[in-house]
Amino acid sequence: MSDQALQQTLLQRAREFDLQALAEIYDLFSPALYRYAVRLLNDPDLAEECVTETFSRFLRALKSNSGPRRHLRAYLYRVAHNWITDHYRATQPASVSLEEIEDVALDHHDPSPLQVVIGKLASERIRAAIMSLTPDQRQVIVLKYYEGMTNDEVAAAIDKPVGAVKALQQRALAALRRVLHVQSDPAGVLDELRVETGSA
Amino acid sequence: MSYELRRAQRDLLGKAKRRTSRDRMTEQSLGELLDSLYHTPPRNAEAAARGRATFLAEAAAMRDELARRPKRGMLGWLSELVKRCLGMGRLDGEPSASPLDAPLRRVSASLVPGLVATFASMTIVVVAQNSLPNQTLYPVKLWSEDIQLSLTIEPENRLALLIEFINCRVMELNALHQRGESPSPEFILRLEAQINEALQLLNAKSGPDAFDIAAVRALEQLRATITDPPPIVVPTPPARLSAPLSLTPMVVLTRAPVNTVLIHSVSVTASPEQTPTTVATVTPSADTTSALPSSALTPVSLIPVATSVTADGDPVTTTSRTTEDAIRTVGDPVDLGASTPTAVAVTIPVLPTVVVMPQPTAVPPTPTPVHVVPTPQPTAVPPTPTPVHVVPTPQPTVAPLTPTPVHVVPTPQPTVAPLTPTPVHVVPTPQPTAVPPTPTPVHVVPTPQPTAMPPTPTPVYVVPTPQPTAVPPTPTPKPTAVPPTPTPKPTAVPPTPTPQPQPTPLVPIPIPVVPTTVKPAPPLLPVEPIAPPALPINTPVAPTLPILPTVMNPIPAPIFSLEHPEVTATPLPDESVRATAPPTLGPMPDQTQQQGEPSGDK
Repeated sequence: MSDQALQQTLLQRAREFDLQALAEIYDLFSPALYRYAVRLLNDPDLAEECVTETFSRFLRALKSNSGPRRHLRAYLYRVAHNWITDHYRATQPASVSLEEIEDVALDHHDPSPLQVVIGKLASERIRAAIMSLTPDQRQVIVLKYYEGMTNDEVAAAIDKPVGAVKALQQRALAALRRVLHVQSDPAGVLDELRVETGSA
Repeated sequence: MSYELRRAQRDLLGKAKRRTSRDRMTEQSLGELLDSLYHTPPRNAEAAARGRATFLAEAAAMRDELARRPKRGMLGWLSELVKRCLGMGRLDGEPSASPLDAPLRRVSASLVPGLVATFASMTIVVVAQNSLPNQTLYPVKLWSEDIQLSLTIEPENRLALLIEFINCRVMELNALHQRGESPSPEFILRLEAQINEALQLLNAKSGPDAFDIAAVRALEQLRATITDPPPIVVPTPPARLSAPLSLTPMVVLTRAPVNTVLIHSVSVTASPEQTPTTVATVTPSADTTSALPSSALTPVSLIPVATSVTADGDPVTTTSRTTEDAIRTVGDPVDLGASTPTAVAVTIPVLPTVVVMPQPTAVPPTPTPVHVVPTPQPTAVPPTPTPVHVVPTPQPTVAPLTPTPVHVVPTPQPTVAPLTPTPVHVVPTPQPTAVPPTPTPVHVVPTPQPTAMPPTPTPVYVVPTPQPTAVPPTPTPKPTAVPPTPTPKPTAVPPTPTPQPQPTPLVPIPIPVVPTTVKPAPPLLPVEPIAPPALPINTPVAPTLPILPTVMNPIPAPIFSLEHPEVTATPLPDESVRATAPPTLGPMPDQTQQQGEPSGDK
C-alpha cells in the first residue's frame, strides 16, 4: 500500500473515530511533526506542545466533519505551521543569555562560548529566514530538505503539480539567499555574524 | 580588433564560468546552512507517550459525544452550511482545497450575512403586501410603497403607481369593512394624499384622453367620498333579507389597449362571503367613435356597474356596455351574450338597491316580462319604439321584497334596439310612491331616496361612478310629443303592491342611451322588435336624442354598515344628474384647495 493510500485509509477510519487508526496516525506523523516544530521553534517543550495542539485540532476538525480530505500529512504540517506562526507573533524575539550560552557550551562540550553564540545566532537567523517564507515555500523547503521527500511526494502532499513545487522551491531558495546574504562560502555568514556581534 | 574581440569573449566566458560556479557554491552553502537545522535533539519519550495518551483520550471522548448526539435535522444542516460559507467549519491549520478557497471564504464571510438579511427583508415585504391597516406588517407595506414611489420619477409611471396604490387602499377599506373595523385617520390622510397627487399628475398632462378624464372623475368622487361621506339613509330592509349586506367598492383604472378604460364597480352582496367584484372595461372602438358625437366619446369610458342583491342573497350585476366593449366580471363572469356593434353609452346610478332580481346575473337580456315603472318625471322619458332590454327580472318575488317599483330603462334607439341588446338598467328603488305602470319603456330611472337613516357607526367609503358636476337635467323631449310606441306588452308590470311610505321625493335618473350605427345583427332579445318609425338604419340618432350617451349619471355613494344589516341607499342629489356635457379635465372646484393640503402620512 502506497503512502497516499495508507493515509486515505487511516483518514477514513479516523473520521469514524476509530481509536486504533487515530493511534496509528499519531505514531506515524508525530515524530516528524516534532522535528519540524523543533527546527522552527528550537524548543523541545514548545515543539511537544505544538504536536499536542496539532493533533487536538485534527480531532476537532474530524468532529465537525471537516478536516483533511486527501492529504493527511500536509494537513498536519499546515496545522503545526499555523501554530508556530501564531507563537512567533505572540512572543518576543528570542534573546540569548550568557548563562544559556554557557550551559549550551557545556552540554555540547564546546570549549568556545563564542562558537556557541555564533552557532545559536546562526540557527536563529536561519529559522527566521525560513519563517519569512510563504507557507507553501516553507512547506516545500521543510518537506524536501528536512523530511527528504521527492518533488512528486511534496506535490502530492501539498496538492500541487510538480512544476509548481519546483517553482516554489526556486523562489524559496532565492528568498533565503536574499535574506541570509549567502556568499560564495558559508563562512561569509559567520563573518557577517562576527561583524554584527563585534567579536571579530 | 579581432584580438580585442577574442579577449572580450574570453572575459564573458570567464564571468559566466565564475557565476555558475558561484551559484553552485551558493546553492551548496545554502544547503549547508539549512543542514545546520537538520539535527534536532531527540524527543523525550515520556512527553511523547503523554501526548499520545492525551490525544487518544480526547478522541475517545469525542467519539462518545458523537454517539450521544442526535441526528442532525434540517436546521443542523443549514447551520453547517452557513458555517461552511463563513469559514467557521475549518480549523486554523486546515489547508485550503484550492487557492481560491481563502479568498472565497473572505468574500462569503461578507456576502452571506448580507444575502441572508436581504432574503429575510424581501420575504417580509412580500408577506406584508397582504396585510391590512390594523396589522403588524402594514407599515412595511406602506414603506415599500413609499420606496417605489420615491424611485419612480416618470410622471406616467408615477401616476400608474399611484392609481395602483389607490386601488389597493380601496380594497383595504373594503376588507376593513368586512371585518367590522374602521380605518384610521392616518389611513384616510394617506389615501387622500395619494388621490391628490394622482389628480395633480392627471391635470398636469398636456393631452388628456378619455381615460384621464374618467380617472379624474373617479378620483375626485373617491376623494369626496372619503373626505365628506354623504348622509346615510337606511331604509327598512326587506323581511326576507336577513343577511347583512356588505359593500365591495372597487375602483379599477386600467388602460385598455385601444383607448381608454374606466372601471367602476360597486357590488353589494347579501353575505360577507359573497363579494363579487365587477369590472367593466369600456373601450371606445372605431365604429363607436364614428357613430357617436364627439362629445359622447369621453363619458362613454365611464361605465358604472351596479350590483344589487337579490332576495336570495345572490348578487345581481347590472352594467352597461358599448360597442365591442368588454365587460368582465371578475370572479363571476357575466355572459353578455352576442353583442352587436352598437355604441351605447349608458350610465347607471350605482344604487344600493336591495332586492331587484333573484337571478345572479342581469347582463344578458332575457325575453322575460319586465316590470317597467315610469319615473314620476315624464319629461325625461322619450318614448322609444325599441324593444325593452331589461335585465331578467320577471320574478314575482321581487314585488313583495322590494317596495319600490322596478324601473327598467329601455334603449331609446328605435333603429338600434332590435339589433343591440342594450344592457338593462334595473334600479329598484324603495320608493313608496306607486307609479302607475306605463307600457312605454321608461328612460329615466328614479333613484330611491331613503329618508330614514339609522345610525351607522362605520360608514363604508365607496367609490361611486364619476359624478357629473353641475349638469342640468337632461332636456329630454316631452313625453307628450312622442307618441307612445307599441312596445311588447309583457314588459309592463304593475309596481309592487307593498309600497312603503317614504317622505323624500323620488329623483329620477335619466339613463342615456347612445344610438350608433349598428350593423345588422341577429336580435338577441326574444322580445319582439319594433320597427323604427322613421329613422333608417346606420343613421346616428344621437343628435336628435335629448339624452346623449355622454350623460354621466350621478351615482350616489352607497353606504353600508355591517352593524346595520339594513340596506342603505344614498340619496341622489338632484343637481348631480348630468346631461350631455362632456367632461373636462380642468381643475375641479374643490381640487385647488385640496392640492395645497398636506400629503398625509407619507
